[in-house]
Amino acid sequence: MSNDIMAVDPGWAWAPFEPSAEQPWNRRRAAHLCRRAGFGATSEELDRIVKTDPTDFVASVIRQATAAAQIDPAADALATAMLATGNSKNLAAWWLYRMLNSQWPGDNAPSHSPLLEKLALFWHGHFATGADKVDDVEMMFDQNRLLRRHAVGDLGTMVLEISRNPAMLVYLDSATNRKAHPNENFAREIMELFCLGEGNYSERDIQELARCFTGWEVRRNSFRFNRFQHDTGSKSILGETGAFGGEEGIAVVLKQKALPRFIVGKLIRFFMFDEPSAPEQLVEPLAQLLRRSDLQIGPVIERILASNLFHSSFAVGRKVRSPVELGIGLLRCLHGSSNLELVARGLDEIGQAVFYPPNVKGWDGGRSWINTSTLLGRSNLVGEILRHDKTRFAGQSLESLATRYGVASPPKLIEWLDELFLAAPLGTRAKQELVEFAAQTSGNSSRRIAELIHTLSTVPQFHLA
Amino acid sequence: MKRRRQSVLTTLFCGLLWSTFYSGAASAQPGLQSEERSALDLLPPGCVAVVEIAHPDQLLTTLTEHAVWKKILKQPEYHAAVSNPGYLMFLGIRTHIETQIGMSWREAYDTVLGGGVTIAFDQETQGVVTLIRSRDAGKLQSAAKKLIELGRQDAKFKGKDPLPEVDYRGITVYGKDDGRFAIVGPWLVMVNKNKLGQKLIDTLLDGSVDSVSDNKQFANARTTISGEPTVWGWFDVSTVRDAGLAKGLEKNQTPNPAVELLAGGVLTNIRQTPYITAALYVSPESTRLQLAAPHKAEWVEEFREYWFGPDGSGAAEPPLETDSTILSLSTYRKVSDMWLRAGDLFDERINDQLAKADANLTTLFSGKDFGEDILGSFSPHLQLIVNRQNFENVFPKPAIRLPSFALAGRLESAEETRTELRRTFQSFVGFLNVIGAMEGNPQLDQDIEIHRDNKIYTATFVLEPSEKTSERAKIQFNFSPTLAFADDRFFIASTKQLAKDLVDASHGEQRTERAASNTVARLDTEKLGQVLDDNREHLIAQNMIKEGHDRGEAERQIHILLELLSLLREVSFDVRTTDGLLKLELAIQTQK
Amino acid sequence: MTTRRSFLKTSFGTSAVVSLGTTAPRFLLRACGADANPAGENILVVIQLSGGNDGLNTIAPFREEVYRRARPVLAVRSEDALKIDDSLGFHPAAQGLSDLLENNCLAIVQGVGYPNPNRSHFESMDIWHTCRRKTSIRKDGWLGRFLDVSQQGKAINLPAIHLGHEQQPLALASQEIRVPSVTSLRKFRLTESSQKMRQTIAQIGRGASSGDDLLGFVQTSTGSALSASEQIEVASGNYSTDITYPDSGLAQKLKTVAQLIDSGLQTRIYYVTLDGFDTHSRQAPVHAALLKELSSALDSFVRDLDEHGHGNRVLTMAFSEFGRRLKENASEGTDHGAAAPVFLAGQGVKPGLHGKQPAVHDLDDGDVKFHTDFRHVYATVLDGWLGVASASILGDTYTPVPALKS
Repeated sequence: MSNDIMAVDPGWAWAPFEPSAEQPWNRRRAAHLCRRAGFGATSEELDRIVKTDPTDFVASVIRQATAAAQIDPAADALATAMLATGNSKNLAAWWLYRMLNSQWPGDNAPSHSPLLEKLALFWHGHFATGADKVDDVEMMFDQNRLLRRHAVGDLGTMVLEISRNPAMLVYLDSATNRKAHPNENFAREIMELFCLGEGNYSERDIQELARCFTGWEVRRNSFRFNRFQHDTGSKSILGETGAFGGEEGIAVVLKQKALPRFIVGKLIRFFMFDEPSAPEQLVEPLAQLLRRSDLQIGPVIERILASNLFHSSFAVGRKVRSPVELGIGLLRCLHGSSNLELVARGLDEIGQAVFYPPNVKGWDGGRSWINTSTLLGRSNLVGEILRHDKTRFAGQSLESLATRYGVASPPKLIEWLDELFLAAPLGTRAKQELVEFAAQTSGNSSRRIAELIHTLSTVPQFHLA
Repeated sequence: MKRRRQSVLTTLFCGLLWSTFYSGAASAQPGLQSEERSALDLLPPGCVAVVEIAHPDQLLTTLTEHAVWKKILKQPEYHAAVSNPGYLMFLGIRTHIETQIGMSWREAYDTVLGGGVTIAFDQETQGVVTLIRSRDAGKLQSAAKKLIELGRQDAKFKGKDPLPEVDYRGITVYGKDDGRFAIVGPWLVMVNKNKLGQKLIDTLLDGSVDSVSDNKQFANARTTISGEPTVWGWFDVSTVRDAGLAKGLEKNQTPNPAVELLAGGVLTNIRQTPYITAALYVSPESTRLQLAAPHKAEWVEEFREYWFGPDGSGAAEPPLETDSTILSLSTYRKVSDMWLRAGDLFDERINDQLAKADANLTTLFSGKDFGEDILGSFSPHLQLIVNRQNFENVFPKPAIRLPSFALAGRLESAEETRTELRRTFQSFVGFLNVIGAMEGNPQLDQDIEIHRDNKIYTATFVLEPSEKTSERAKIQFNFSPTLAFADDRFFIASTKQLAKDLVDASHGEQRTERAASNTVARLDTEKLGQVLDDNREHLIAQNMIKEGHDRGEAERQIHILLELLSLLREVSFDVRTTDGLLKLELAIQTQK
Repeated sequence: MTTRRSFLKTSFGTSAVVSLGTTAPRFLLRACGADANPAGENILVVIQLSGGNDGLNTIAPFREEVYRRARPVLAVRSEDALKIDDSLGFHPAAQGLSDLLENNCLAIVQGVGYPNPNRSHFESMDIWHTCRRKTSIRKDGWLGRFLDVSQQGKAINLPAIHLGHEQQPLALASQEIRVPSVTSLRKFRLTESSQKMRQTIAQIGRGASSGDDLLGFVQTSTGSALSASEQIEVASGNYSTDITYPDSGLAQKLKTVAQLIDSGLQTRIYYVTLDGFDTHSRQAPVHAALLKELSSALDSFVRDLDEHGHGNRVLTMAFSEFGRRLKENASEGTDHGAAAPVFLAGQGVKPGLHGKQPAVHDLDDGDVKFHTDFRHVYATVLDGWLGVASASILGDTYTPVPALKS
């Protein structure tokens, strides 16, 4: 295997990962999968997962997500209670609660799917819509339902529905889009950010697509087509001409070759590696798969998560942990629970408030998560969560958790945490430093463990997922 | 680990030793003059604060036999708490000590503290003294001896005596630096200033000298005691004031209008009164805290007349209540005078803000001067009423069910101002509609109804067709702002129902003798519990998010909260000036 | 026994870490020369107006019939405009800008843009940040390149600071230097950590890989985070001013900048952002509020700097990624346009208008045409203020605009 991603053979890259003596299916690999496909796994879950076949496990994760996507969260009592407050910040806490309480497929009763939550977060960043501008919690919630419904399903339907989604229309100012004054904002984002990417359309295409959307309005928080404001004239978009309406306009965009490539490129970046951007020869097979399956997203995700490339050094440790992955992952892996309003606020401060993406481009991810301010903020947030009086681990203390797993002694604990949290393992010297650090800490056992985890979370390796 | 256990033991042990007994043994005590004197006769005249618990043993009995405590004992959470290892260890140590001193902890408590506990702050030495009178000097001494022994044994491995002894005039004094204690006859004396301790022992040995009882103000204060307070305290405000220690009192200003309305009069009093007394009464039915301070009408500055009324005559009306009232508050405040005299009452920053608010409110009330015209039309008898809303047969039902609330009062020259107030109300609703339309909120529909021959002006939110049968409607549907009149009374209520209920409540009511109180308030905790219960789902959700609980845990916690609330009946509050005193009383009635 | 300071110094290879601890008095820092800006080098403060500021309503051509007809709702009326001359005036909300001009502290460069304008926020902002089109590689920004150039041969800690919650602007991206983003001075510390913990982290970072991969990136970032945090903690100290800043976000950021400047940091570039200029609908109240926030904050800032004796060495530049269309839209807003004015404020400017107001009757695809490439403005700042040769940073030679005193 070459060290150069440009030289990787796509056949090998996308072939299913087969465990071998050199590449065993072990807790560390399972932890990598669970970090990427969800928000990490507990030590117990890892033990269970390594007993299954990796390909089978990925298939069951996809099945679980597909089934969960059919369950409307409107029936969730917690969601309705949060909606009643009329504040999207509370809705953010609801979503974090779901992420935290998602469970990997197993014998127990079906619960929230980690992959579905992760994908909903991906699409939320992709079709970024900010509650600060939309300013209506019900609309934000409806959009979230939409993203969940199609998260592993049909991309075409998702794009079409998102184009008529009130929150999106409000966010991109297309709510008042009249014949005489087509608002180009939404048409531009459809091409630039949602479907094709820069360079795959012209300014002219945008102006013409904007005409297709004239008369698409939001009234009383619902979508309405105002035929009197629709420009019925002929448009020519991306080489096709006709008296297109919005649906036809989108259909033209969806037909573009650039679409599957653009989406696959983003999925690879989200699930596999932040940099460099995936070379064409690796994108192409998945783009073809997406096109062949009529823009079904599930098969592409399944291929990614079960692949050789996913378990290779090109992917392992090649992503920066997003704030949500950091905060929720910390609790999730340690059977933790805490005040999620506090966590939501903390995540906001280090750059990721769900329902409040920074702009239409969503979160850039990768290196952009990291700067002096966010690094200090990350460390402070982990410290705050660990020491917060509402934070519990399996309903109890860190001490009892460590005892339960038989890792109460610092050297064992460090090994255990290393495997649980770190994609890029610590070296012997670093572990030794931490053992020495643990020896110097004081206070009760839970406090000392918290201090150790806090220190570990500030070590550079911890920021890689 | 073993060492840690050891140190926990030591800590617990010492804690117990110091808190319960804190005592020393002394054998022969020369010339004791103290048997018949009360603690007050022993305290130096320079004491500026005295707190007395006359019967600590009765207090403990009342508490342990109290219905609330018994209910707590029945909670599974209590059993979980007392079966944790830390608590069990504590019990073990307690038993050990009980065996050593030959008394149960309860017996020891009663014996040692039975004669009363008095705590005082002496201005001269800047020291705090605690005087404990035991019922049985012999038992006190033997128990103390044992405990000191135990303490020394435990501390042995540290190689340091935790309780060094010195002799002062034949009395053994324990402790080091300024923290000392000694046993003199039935008295256990504890001080945090050595000098103060010596003073006390001198008094005990030498017989009477001047004591705090000879302080005229203190003696005055003693005469105002009514009944038998469980805890009684006296605070010499004038000395503290004269010493320039209370910097906050120098400025006769409150930080904001809310504090001013609530406590402005108290500030006036504290700036001039010689002392304050506090009395706490604990009984199986209630817990009452009474604060009192001498008060004179001539102390009231002109700008605070709005609080006390002319010559201090301001008295609240009897509170209006209906069957669903959670909270009623009735007070005497000439609010317009406060508004107009803001310049004297607040600092510049607040006055700037008030000026801005005044400009905005004046615009809002279509050019009427807010202070003079609007507030000025209210008589000083104001009431606030908070009711539980009944949504049983009402649609839509809001997802979060808030209580309704109303401001009630009387109008000066009702005939003229009624029209003004109505116009102001209607244009305010119109203003809300304009804002609401911009924010995409539902619109208010204005209407007029006749209720008991009175016109009431209502505004109800317009429903979307889909909302008509909703059980999870927006929070707005808790409100239907309404203005109602009945004779010279006016009611500005958050709901039509409350306005009608208040008109009913005031109907036919005679202008009864006004209560002597300046302010009275009553909180019905049972109804409060019902409102919380109405929102149980929401409280559970909040608990899940904020406490990180799963649903089951959250449900249990909310259940306990409501259970605990159900142990109370009501909380009431009363402020009055009477018999030359300004009195504040807070009372909590409990279920028997 | 290694000290905490040398820990940080050796561990991450970050040079010039000055860490005398939080208690070190400022005079000590100044005396040792490590922290001060002894040469009194010029400082640049950039205010980015994100979203596309409507230049035509900021400096309004109120006499132009074409302008008034194109904007029946939004046009600034002649009687409202704060007149600059017979034909141009500030938006009435921009009183602070008008005051600055009156005090000879404001230069306005008109009609700034670039050829073939891109109307995507991100693309156009990237062009302003990097001076490059999408077709070329854009690893760094113009200020980042300035940092690299000026850093040569001398190591400066905190050569630039980005103040704000938003993502760090690409303009500050440099090949060599990691510019810290500060949300508030209070947040810029490890609040929950112990000394021992920091030492352990520093030890673990020591000698670890410093490659260009993600891990290397996080490692250097962690090093600079730890040291920058300590330096700001020391530097912020106590600050007092007679100027009352308005209670707006931008004003508070600029006040923090003034504090940092006065604390004697070596920092030469401060970068802040004011967002919200993407006024597609109901522009009037929003734009007025934004212009008020900008102008009153800027005015207070300039006066505060004067009061503290830094007025002659601080230049503030305010720019936006593009202007907006001449014609207003049906939502009482305006859509993405092209050319717009850039503002330079401080004692060092040649006050007044520079360059022509773009003609409202000579449009390019509905937008007024630019006539001053933004790189000329950058050249003005680089050559005339920061004292470096601009050509290497901008990729070509651009004549400076004569907007600064020589």
